[in-house]
Amino acid sequence: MIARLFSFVVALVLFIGCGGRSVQVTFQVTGRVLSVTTGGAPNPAASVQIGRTTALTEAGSGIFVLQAAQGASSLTVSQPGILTFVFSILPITAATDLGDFWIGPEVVTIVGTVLDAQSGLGVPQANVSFAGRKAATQDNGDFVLENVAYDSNSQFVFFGIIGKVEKNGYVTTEFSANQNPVQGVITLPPILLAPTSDPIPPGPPFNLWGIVTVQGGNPSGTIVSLIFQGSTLRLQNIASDGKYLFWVPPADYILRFEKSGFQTAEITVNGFTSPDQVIRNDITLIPN
Amino acid sequence: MKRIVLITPLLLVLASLSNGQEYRNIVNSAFDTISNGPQSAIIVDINAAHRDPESVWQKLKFAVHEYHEVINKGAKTYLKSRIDRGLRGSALPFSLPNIAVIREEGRLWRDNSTTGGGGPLVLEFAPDGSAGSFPVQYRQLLQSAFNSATPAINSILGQPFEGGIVRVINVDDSIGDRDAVVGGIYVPDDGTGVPAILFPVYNAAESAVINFVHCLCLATIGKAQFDYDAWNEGFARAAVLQIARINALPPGLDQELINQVIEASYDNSARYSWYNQTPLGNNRFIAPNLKDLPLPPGNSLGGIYLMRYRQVGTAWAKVFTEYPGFFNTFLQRYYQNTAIRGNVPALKTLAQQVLDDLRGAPNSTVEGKLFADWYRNQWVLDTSVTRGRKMFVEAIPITFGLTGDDFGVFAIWATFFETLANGNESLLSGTSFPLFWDRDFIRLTTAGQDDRMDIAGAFGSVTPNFPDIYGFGQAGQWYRVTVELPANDSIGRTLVPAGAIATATDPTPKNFYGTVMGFDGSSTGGDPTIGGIVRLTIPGVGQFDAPLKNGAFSFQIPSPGLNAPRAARYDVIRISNGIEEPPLLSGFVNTWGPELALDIRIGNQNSVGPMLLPAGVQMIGFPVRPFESDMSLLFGIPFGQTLAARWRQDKFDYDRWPSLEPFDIGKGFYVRLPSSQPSFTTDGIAAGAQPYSLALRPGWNQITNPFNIEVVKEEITVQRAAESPRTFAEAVAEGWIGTEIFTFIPGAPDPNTGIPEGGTLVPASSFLVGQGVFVRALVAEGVTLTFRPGSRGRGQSHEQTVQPDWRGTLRVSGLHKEASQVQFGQAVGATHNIDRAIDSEIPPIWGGAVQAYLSDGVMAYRNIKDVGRQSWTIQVTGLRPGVFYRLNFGLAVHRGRAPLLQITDLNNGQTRALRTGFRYSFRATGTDRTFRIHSYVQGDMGQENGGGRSGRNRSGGGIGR
Repeated sequence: MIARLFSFVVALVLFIGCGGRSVQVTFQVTGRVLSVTTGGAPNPAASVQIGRTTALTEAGSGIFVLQAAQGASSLTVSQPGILTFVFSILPITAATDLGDFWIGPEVVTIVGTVLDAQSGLGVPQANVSFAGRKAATQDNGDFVLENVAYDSNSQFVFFGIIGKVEKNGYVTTEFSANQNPVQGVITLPPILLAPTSDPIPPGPPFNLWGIVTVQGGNPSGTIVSLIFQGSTLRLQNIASDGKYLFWVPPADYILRFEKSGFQTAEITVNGFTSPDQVIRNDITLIPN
Repeated sequence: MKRIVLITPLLLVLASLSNGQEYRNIVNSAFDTISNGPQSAIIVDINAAHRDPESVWQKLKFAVHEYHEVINKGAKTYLKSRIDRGLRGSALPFSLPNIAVIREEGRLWRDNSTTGGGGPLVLEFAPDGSAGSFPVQYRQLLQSAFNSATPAINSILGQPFEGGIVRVINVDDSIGDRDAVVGGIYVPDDGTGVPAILFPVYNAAESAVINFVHCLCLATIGKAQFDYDAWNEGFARAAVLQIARINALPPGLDQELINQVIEASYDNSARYSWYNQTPLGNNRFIAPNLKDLPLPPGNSLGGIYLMRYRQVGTAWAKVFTEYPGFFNTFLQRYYQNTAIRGNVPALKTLAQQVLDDLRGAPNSTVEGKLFADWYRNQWVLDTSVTRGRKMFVEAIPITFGLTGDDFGVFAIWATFFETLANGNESLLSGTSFPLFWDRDFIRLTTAGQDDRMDIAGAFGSVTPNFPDIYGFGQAGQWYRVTVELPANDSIGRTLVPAGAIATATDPTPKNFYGTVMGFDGSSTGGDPTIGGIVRLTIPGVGQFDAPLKNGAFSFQIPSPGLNAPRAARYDVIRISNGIEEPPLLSGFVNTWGPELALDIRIGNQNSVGPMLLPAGVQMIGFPVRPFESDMSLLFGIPFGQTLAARWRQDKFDYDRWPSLEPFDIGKGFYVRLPSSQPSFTTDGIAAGAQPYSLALRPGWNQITNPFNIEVVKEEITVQRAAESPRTFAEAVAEGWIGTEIFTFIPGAPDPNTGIPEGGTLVPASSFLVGQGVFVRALVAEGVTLTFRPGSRGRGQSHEQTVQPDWRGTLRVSGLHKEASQVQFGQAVGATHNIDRAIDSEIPPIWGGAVQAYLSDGVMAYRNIKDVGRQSWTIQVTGLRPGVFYRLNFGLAVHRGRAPLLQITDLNNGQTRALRTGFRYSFRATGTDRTFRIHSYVQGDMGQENGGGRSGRNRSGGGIGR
């Protein structure tokens, strides 16, 4: 009797438990898994898991489709012989295309900084995405993308992956991580975001430039002469930002900097051999 | 030049042999004197009926024999004395070398079968079971292929450059996937000084044989390999096509499989015309950095390389079709001077000479074009390394399994990559939003999955079904579809004939089809009295008329129509009231395979110029894709003096020459020319007679008008992803693109160089021909601009919603064409700050050129303020003291009455009413000058004006009107 009563109670609890729980809401999500070794679908197919649901990638395309529970926020990709990759995703709230997730035999860390192209200041809370990894920039614009799929034997697939930086109020910008890793870390040059409120087209091209600073003064009014074989080719009267910019054929030049009350300075430009080189020479002028 | 040179005895009476002969030099001119000619030559005249090598040899032997007979008779006494004195044996003639000249119709005879003289190739396989050896049966198959194909190879390519051993090494474990796909590797030196074929083990005997024959063809050229795959692989693959066609292969192979191998890796004859796209060019077909990269599974082939190999075989097979002796003759002459192996102009010159000699006439052509012209139209033969991102589009008609409403089903494959230094290539990933346009360039919508193409590892695909939009159930209303694949700021483009190949209701595939741009033929809904055909005339076969409807044509040429290499002619013919008119366009195409697709564009090859390209810095673009990819050669400037640059928003910097993509339709560039070019001209491929789209990436894009007529904003539509096209004004209003477009005005000549070294960017209202322009895309996925010259007013414009009540333009101009301007005006609700829809900030100043801007709180090019009394401060900088400048003013009133305006020169206090036509000149006393504009409501101007003053003053200013 006791045993039967116990069974009944257990059954009742189970019944109430099941009936009392809300039905789990799922959404169909899709995405694509790509191999950083080949640039194509993983072969053999990779297994994609969100929560308790698993699907295999399609052989030719790498696409996967599965039902994901509402709120799920991570996706795991595994393939025999390859590292297991766990990606953070935005919590699932609707049927979604999650985009591309790259996997490979190695991983690297990508670090960089997102700057406002107008002010030169870091852009906080910009969304940076690359190869399925996502990060938000810190207050100073820095970001770190960890565990990014990589294959040192097929670098040019990795170089072809295009990352994206998005933030409201800025023009979305793409970037590539085509630098060699140093001890597993790829350091990107600054990524500049142009504000949508700044409708100014780009400045002119240049290949010989620098910034003049003046000890205890303003560089405005400094005359920069570009001298070739003793003859002055160009003169530039620089403004308060101190920048001088020349677009000139490659050659050995002398840059002369003159400002009233300051010692005249010269810089010899050597090693300028191709028009696509960009040579930078900064200088500080010292008072007489 | 091929001459048969014989060593033949000469004794004495030479003059007697030359009786009746006229000696001519190589250009068939008689020698001026007897002293500079081949006075001892044996002349053998042949005729066309007996020009085969055996006949010539017999005739030559006879002539030599006769020659000896004559000499011996004449020299009998002399010889006898020599023999008697023991100076020579009785059996040996006394001899000197002599030349035999073979002529045909008075010209030196070139023998196609003459050889390189290097002797035969001998294959050397590694001993069975050793490293580098093949399975026995496989080795035997390769040897068998060699035995079967060698006579044909020697006939097509001539004897090997160098005979002797060629090692054949099994590299199945180490060969790169791509090298295996394209048929193995030939190396002139395997590291020990011996040439080698590095070959994998293919599963199918047919693949092994075809690919091995390909390597043998490369080995025949041997150490005389050209510097470019476009030539080596082109010759070899075209030879393979012919060898497979005549079946000079081992017995027992499956012909169907052979055809499949040929189609997969060697030949694109059927759709060569569709795939003849600029991204094919490169110095190496497999980018060096991709050599050892494994291939992805699925449809992707890991880059553009295989398409290059297929196209190049077809390209050179076109030459072979018209000149079966071309390769043989060309190579024998080239072997005389292999130093030109990397000199494409010299190789092209030689090729033209060979064509002329083979045909026996100057200016001989391939597909109706002189060799150099034909060559530059084959993009796969462009050996220059052109940097930048590229999109190649491959359209493959789906002709099987069609059901339901399947009408024009095509697999559209994209290859998206970037060319880097040294011909390396990066396989790009990204997203493209395909654009499909119908005959009238109205956007076609297909199934939703075709709206977006995800690209990874350089590859992406969609398979749209272009619907039956003209037929309404009536069969045969095919039409032209323009497929555009934008990605980043690259755009790939191809034209396909929807409904013209196979449909669900007419499933039998046609074998002659394509599109015509520039004439649609009979247009559904158009003039019923107008029709058109594309007529294909195949010599010895017949003439076939393919109906041209809605810009597409289709026909089934009965067997064996296309099944042999032919030099065919096509004509696009307009039919008016049933009467044929003279062809709108005629061309030639060399057919090879069982199908022929053509992309015919009337008037798409065009010249730019002659035009003046001024010295100094300027922003330009061309309405053509110049055939010359190298900017240094294009402008005739030394490499190191060439300055050209194009903005890359993703790098936030410029790409600079030589790390710079070539000029292309719609792409703008900054260039600096050291001196003016008064009659610059270049030839290239033009946009053609239909609208043309440009892809814009987010941010600033440096573009140019793709046409050679001015295009205004109202003639442009803007597309974003799968949304319907918008007018330019609508796209601005929706925030897809920026308000303003900017162009560049060069500044005054630099005092040191004497040419403009800087200038200013000024807003532009239209796209002028050849003018570079900055346009800004504001949405994350970018947009496409479609230029539609002549369509002005067709689209709805929202321009009225963003126009102010009035707008004034004040322009300051100085030395030469140096100029800058500002705009100001009033509109209800506008603010003092920058209102994105109507205001514009100041563009960058460059190189000290004159620059005007509004400086009321914000620096602006245009500032529209609210109605009522307002003022604007105008700052002019970059003035040269002592130089005269002029102000001009124009006023445009869109609503209400014209405003009352005054201008004050704050340097001298001079004030004057400002109306359209106002002029004011002043001599600069400093580098800056400031003006102030006031607008007044009716009735209060007199109080503020103070009457104004006019006339000259000590500042050098003077107000007119």
